[in-house]
Amino acid sequence: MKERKNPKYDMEPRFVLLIMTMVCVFMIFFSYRFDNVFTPIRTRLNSLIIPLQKGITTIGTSINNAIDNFEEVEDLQKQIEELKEENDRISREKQSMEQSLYDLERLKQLLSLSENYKNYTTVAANIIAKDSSGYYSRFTLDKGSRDGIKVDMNVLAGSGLVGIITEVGPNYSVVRSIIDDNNYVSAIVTKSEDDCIVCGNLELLALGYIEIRDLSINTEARNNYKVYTSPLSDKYLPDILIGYISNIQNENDGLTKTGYLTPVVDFEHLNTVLIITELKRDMMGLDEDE
Amino acid sequence: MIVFLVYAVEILVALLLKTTVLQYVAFGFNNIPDLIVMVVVAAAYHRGKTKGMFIGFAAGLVLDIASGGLLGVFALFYMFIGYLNGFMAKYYVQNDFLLPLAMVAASEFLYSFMFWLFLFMTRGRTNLVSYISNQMFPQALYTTVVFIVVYRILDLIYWKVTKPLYTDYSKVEG
Repeated sequence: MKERKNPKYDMEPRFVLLIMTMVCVFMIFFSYRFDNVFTPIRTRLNSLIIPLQKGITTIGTSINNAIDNFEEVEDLQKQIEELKEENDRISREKQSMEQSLYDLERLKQLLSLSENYKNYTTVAANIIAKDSSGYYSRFTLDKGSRDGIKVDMNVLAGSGLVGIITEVGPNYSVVRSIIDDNNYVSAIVTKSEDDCIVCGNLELLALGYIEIRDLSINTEARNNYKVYTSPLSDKYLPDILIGYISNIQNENDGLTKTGYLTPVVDFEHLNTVLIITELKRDMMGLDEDE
Repeated sequence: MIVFLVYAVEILVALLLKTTVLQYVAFGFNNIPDLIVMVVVAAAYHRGKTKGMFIGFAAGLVLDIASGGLLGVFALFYMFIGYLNGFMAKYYVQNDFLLPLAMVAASEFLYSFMFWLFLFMTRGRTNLVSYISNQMFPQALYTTVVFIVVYRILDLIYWKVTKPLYTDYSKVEG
């Protein structure tokens, strides 16, 4: 067979290793230097395994759900009781809230504050694969350029930020989530209006936190303040909720504070996400330079 | 040809399972059993340095394509794992489980270390102690435990599917 006829196999294995190592180093160098040549090839090859991943994930999810359903029936009974009580309590609270809300609206109108929340248009997508290295937090979605998805589109789940599209193929796209160790988002803290950077951190990930840094030392931010994407960011759309601050502390340099951030999105149980089909650079009125 | 196909299928299945359903059994710091290391270790243990190296290279390259980083990084990692495990091929005995288990534990540890060295330390994430206790150790342990089952399957495939094609067993390098 091929294995025995090939003259390569008569070489000392360590020489083969040396040659192959050089091949790898060259590949790393070329894929770094000539990104635009390698990416289309990679995208095309990758889109071949997408249908397979999609199928396996669909089967896996349905089995997982079936098991979960089975276990959950008893819990649900208990939960219903609890929810009924909570419902009563909340409806009482709602009464008083509605009154305050009415007051708020009235006062806002008096101040003529413009609503700056935009209703972004979104596309729903399913997660079909998570990153294969286990050290990154990226995942593959089943929508691609055919559905109008582009690189740098923001991804939400519920009301919170999930991440950003980093790669698009015809039938898939890859999201780098905000909990990825290599992801940075410029953000703004409510009430105190401080700028800061939110970045993923592998060490904090298992505790359910991501990192928040570069807060001004004079900040009045406290635990449980909300953190939103900043208007300063050139990729993330403004006013998307990221999470809540906790555990603020001074940094050693005496100039900044750092802290933990609890994301609003439950990344462990994420199946469906929403992709915002507006790009920040379009909103800023810049021409697309592709 | 059949040998080639068998390993191609093994690598593809490992990759697909790892990126999809195995995510349900992740724990801690996103630790999942590393099926690709298992395939490479078993292949090198069965077939020696050179073939182990090439199978590692192929598996790594597929992973590179799927994961979207620089092309060749994982290929390099897995190639070294395949080569180093190939040294053990001369001690191959059917139904020996302790040696391959030790090999896969060491390989996963090595893989995690290379990963940290090239992809984390270079970005200033220098806290190796936390990385070892939270990432490398659980990951290696998890992979080893799962390998007990997976190795039986891979060994069975080796004997049932590919071994009968060879008549000269002494050709296996080591």
